[in-house]
Amino acid sequence: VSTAYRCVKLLWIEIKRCQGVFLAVLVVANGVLFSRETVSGDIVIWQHVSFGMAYFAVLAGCVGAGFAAWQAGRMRRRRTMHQMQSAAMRFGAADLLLLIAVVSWMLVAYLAVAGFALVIAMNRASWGGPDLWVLLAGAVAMIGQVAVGYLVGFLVRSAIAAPVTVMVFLAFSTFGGSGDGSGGAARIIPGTFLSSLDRGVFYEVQHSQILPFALSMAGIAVLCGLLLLILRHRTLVTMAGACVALGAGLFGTGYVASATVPDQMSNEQRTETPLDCRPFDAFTVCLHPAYAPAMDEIGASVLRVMPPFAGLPGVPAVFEQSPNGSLTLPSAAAISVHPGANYNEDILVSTIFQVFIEDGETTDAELAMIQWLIDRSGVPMEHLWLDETTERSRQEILRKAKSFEALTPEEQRTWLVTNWDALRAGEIALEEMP
Amino acid sequence: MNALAQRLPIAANGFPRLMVLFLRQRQFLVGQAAVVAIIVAMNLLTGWFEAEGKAMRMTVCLVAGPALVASVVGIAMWSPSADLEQGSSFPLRWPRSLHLAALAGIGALGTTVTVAGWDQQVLDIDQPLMWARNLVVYTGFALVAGRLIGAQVSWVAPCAMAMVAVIRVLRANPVDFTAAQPAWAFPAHHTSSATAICLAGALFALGAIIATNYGPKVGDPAGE
Repeated sequence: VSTAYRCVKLLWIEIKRCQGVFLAVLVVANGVLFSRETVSGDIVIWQHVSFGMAYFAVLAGCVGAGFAAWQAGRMRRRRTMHQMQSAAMRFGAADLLLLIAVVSWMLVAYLAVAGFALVIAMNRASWGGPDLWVLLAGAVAMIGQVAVGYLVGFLVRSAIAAPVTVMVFLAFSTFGGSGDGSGGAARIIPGTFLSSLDRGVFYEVQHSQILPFALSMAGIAVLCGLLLLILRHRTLVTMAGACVALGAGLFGTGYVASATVPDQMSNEQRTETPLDCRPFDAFTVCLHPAYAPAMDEIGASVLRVMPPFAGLPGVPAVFEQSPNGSLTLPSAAAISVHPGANYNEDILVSTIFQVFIEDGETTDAELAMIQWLIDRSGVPMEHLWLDETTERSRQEILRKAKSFEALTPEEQRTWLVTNWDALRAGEIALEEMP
Repeated sequence: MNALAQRLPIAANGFPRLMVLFLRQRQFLVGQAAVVAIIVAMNLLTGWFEAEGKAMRMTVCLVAGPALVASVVGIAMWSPSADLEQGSSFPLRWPRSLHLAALAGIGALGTTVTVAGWDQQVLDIDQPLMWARNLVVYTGFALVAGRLIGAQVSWVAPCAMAMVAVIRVLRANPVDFTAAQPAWAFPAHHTSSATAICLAGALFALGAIIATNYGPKVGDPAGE
């Protein structure tokens, strides 16, 4: 008990004197900035908040690793090594306590940032809840990074070890590996691994992969601690014990890492959550419940673009949120819903593709109709559809679009109902348009 | 006038010797070696980026990479005898200026030329200009921080700023440098932003004036 008490007391002293409070302030300030980006906007998704915080832990872990590398050289810089020669405490224990102190400050900062983001998300998110497993994965990844950083600082006796550690970690912890989470190295690269798990609300988070990842990160942290002990204590018993533990740890880490192969995205992993659907005149908009705050805005966009085509063959009656951001689905037009999206444009483009372009060659009359649709929606778009036409026919198409716009809504609707099938079949010439 | 006439020959004869001592004390060659190592590492990264074609990685390198060179410059300002230099009768402004110019100049030139060799089609920005501008920004930060908290800890300022800038840029996926950014996040601004260039220049000028006139924080011999 007294040993444990002494350890806690020494740890408390290290926590106070390791200047980690400055690091924590820096991390919290950055974290609040990061959280504001994550939870700002009309749509706040719990899953994105959870992964965002875990990803922030990885970014903060890079700075934490640099700080740990800096702290690892503290006794050397202050020339207090000789004082440790006569101390009752071993060198290795002092290193471990200092490492734990740095980790403690990082965890305090991470908890503060995550707490801030969760409180805001609690008030603003419309569906779901925090994913504690993902938050835990971020914390453990951060601990692993700090431990590796400390070991680097211990081994590299240079003042530039700390900034080099920060930048190398920033480059490789966040963007190392193949980017999609596949490949051996990506399994233990925190940023890449976490990014590969975040597939949006339509897919289940693979929690079964998080635990092995967290274990491998913890294994790396333990290995760093063991290496510190080995390098500090060169006695036979310690070396032997540490080597056995090192071997076991290496094996365990490798085994666990090999088990964390991220599965490819598949429809079997789709969530069963039913979409929220709401009618807007002749059309229906269906969204994932997490995106419910966007319903009114999307409905307004539908009513702005679609009414003249209501009920016509081939025109989508249902606008359903796309899980993968593609523009079309077999049964309904698909829209990509995300904060800051321009729904007018999305719906317009989706409709143009599905109604006029997808079924084959587009005639000049259809191009005129597309241009009218663009003008009507008020979406500022270049004349991309007309790029392949000659200058003369382009002018004619634009003129026809204008003259169709000049008709009354009833006349437009009547002409569309009468000529819709022929228009889509390519049997209407530009001159036949009103 | 008489005193000046007496000092001039001493200055003329002693300056090269003083400069050698000055640079040796600051481990100038080690600093240069670190900068060259960074340039070599970046050349190696070039092939990797082109092979992978990842705009995000290149963005992080352009936004955060200069902080590494700036950190080396900031740390290299540290002197083990800063206390003694404060009482020097010889003005150290010129040795400090030459030291800073040599270190930052080689770092800026080498790395900017390296970045100019990268594939310029990946990002919709002037990549060498972004690298040079951010290097100027971060070096200014490091020099100011060196005066405030000590040269060997000055890397904290550019690294922290780089982290903020990375966070700002990573908001959008794919990377969009044209997205609106607050004025204080100028390392994340588009290269066409005149505000960012002006702020970068002003910050570097401030840092250079402080570093050359006053040197890093005194009473920090061990860089604690």
